[in-house]
Amino acid sequence: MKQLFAVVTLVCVAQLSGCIGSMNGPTEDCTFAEDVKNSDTLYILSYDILAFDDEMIQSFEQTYGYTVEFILADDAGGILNQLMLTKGKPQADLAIGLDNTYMQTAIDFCLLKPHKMEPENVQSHLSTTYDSIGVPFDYGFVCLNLDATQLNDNRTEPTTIDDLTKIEWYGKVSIPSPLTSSPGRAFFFSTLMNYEYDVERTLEWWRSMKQNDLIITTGWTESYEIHYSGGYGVWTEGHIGDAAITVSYCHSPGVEAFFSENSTFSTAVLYEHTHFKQIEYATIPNGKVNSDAATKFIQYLLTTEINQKMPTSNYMYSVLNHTDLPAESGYKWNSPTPQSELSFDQQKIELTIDELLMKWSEVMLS
Amino acid sequence: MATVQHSKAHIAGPYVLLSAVLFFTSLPILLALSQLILISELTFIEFMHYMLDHSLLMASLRFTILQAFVSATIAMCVGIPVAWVLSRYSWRYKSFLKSVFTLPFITPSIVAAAGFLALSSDQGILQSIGIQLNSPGHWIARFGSFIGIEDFGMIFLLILSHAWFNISLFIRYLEPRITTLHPDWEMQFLLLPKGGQRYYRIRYFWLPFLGGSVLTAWLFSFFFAFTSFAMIRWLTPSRYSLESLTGTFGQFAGIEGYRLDATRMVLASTLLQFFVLSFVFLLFHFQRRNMNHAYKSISEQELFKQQTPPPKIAKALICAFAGLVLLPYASILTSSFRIRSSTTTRGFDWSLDAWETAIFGNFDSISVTTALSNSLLYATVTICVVLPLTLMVSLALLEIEKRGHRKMANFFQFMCIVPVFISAVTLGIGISIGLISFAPFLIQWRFLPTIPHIFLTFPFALRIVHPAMQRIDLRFLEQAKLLGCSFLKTYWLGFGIHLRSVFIVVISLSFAFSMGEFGASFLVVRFESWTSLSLLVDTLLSRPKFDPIAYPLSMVVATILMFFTFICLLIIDNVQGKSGEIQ
Repeated sequence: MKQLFAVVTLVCVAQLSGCIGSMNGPTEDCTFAEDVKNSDTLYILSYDILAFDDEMIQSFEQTYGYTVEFILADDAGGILNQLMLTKGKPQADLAIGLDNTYMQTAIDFCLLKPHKMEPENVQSHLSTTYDSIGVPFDYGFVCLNLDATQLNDNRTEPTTIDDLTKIEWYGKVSIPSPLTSSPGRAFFFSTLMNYEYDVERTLEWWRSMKQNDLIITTGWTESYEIHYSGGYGVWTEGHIGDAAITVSYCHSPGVEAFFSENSTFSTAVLYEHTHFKQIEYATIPNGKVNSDAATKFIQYLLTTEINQKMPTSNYMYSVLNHTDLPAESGYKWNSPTPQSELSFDQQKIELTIDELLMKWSEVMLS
Repeated sequence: MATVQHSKAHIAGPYVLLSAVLFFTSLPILLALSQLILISELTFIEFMHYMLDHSLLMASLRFTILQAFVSATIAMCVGIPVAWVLSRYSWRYKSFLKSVFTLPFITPSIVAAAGFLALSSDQGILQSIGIQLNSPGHWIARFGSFIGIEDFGMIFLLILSHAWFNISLFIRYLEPRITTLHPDWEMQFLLLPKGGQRYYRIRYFWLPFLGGSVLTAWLFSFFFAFTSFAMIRWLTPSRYSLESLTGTFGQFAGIEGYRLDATRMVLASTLLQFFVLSFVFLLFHFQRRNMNHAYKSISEQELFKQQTPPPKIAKALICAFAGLVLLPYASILTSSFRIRSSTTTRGFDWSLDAWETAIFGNFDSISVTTALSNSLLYATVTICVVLPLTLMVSLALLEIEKRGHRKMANFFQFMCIVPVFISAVTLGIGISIGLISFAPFLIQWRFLPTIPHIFLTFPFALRIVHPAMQRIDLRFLEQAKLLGCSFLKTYWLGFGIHLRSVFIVVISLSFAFSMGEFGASFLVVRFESWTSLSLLVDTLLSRPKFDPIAYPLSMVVATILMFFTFICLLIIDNVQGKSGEIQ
């Protein structure tokens, strides 16, 4: 009871003292801290990136003489959150895994500092406005995946995302929430692009989808494993399989085929505007960090030996020139590539990403 | 002058110690709450509107209360007959049976979640006996559709898993009470005019006698189901409970100017949880205060000679229940050997590949042995802190009681036990938003993960140690002092020597709790090299399972964690067997 009073008091005191103020906007000019060069340990902030196995890390440690220590985050959102929490005094020398849906926020808050690298051999189409701040290490196209076996005379393959609001797709679409999932966030951006950055029209589509019993999940795993009927989830426990369409990567059917002897029911659906090129970056946090060690790790990450294995070790595309998905077991054949190359332009929207997500949240969660 | 100062310090000592303990236990939560309130940008009235209008929050609240209520009630319906049968007959392996039935309570929640997932898996045990939770044609799914809940199969499994967890509480609370009730009491009641009728026996004899214990066990069951995190996260990922909502959005909350939605949501869900749990705690407190402990008892050994062997139906009930208790463990073990066939045909191969990969393989940047050594380290530190802390707090409480300030002692004891009713995830939020925001250097402190373990274990340890200390005759201490023993020897002869078995139980329980702790560690542990076994199970379960070995690999780690839980249980069982039941 005493604690209850304390809480109520805290609310009231905060009210009266005027502490509840307006939200701080992004800082205009960032000041970048000096590097620290005398540390033997390289702290890397990252999520559970499958490519970083024991062998790979040991090889780096032996070659460059650094000890690698990973700081955990759940996903790209978790990395950004971690950088926010330790703003100005980052605990990590290197942050790996922020993607292009989070980069702008990180830049706005001065959480990253420019690197001094000029990565060679990286595919030119990955060049973006973030080049001076982040180095791409893998990429993939987020798009809708469809269970081909669920199509019939009454339910034909949709040709635009508007088709998904029709009755035949009632309760048959599963999408991870943009609030908690990176692919979900990427897909949300792709819907904005689809409606030419018209926020109201975009939200109207989401509203229609909600009325059409859209399944919203916390993360990619629940959407793909539990609800999607066309993936490996059919073998997993707790599988419901009520969704014939989900958000994943365009090459997910290829990964399915790779591990199932060239056999999959899943196909990627490529509409003109509803895919999103997700690029994952290695970045250096703004603060007194060991940039030298961080740079060496990024260079190591971009070596042919490590990066060309991305499709099989991390289920993403390699960023290096002259690399491709493996042809083995139908990986490449089942992974269509979008013809049009769209990139999300936040300048076309007046709202910040946070404000957009708040609006999405109001539509979908209230 | 020196003597005066010494006596002042002596007088203030227990109060200072207890106040310091209370201050440090409440600090993270208060810091986190103030941080969340300050940046939520809402007035109190706006906040109340926000909370009540937020459909996700309200749905989570409804779901949390409903599943906790139903699972606690199912646990009660199963637990009472099992406890009754166990205590009314002379069972040859009673101690072993009781240990088996206690096992779920000390099982790490992530292991239990993995076990129930394995139970319901494709071609798993449930499917092999015809129970297909998610199949549209099955009666469970049909019933779900009838009541308008599409994922009813998994909710059903969640409720069963919570009930499975908590049945041991009913056995733990009821069995000793029924067993040690002297037969004379029952005989005397039977001689009364209406004593021969079952209804009146239940209404006027068993209900007053057992009602308090049943309510206590029910409240604890409700609490554990209400604050469950790992089970909700894995069994009903499409649903949020208040705890899982806090855990999911907690990582984005508490940062000024960023993800205001997450901050508000976490603040609201934490406060809602706090209100409900405060109510549960008050009920628990009043119930304990009014519980009648005075009854004529009989020792188990004496009773054993008078009791009859169990009839066949009782044996069948106990065997079936033991089987149900062990089923999830068996599922985890078998799942660690089953690997999905790499074709689209549904099938599995039996193989040791997952074990080989876990022990010798290269599946992660952290190995199973590192995770195991981390878990052991956290458990050891937790024990090293909790045991002396509990002793010091208990001594301080005894000192206050000795001075005649019984109400004050009760107040401090009450406040020390309050953290039992704070959920692990809330504590994790307290540390990650409260402590780390104010002292970022703590993020690199190697023993940071042990803080929530200590917080969560200490109230249980105090509940075990303090009553035992109260029962010790203080004359032993006085005599040791008279003999001129050293400080440590005085306290060892005065208290320690009488508490050896209690210490072993506390050590084993702390060890089991620390090894299995998940909710707080999920939010607090940042360095991958600090990963514990329970976190590694979660990490492996979270991975995309395109590669068929990913799932059995997580089951291997769960099996290893389960093995250590069994060892703890064996130690507790052994100590209790030698020194009698420790209340």
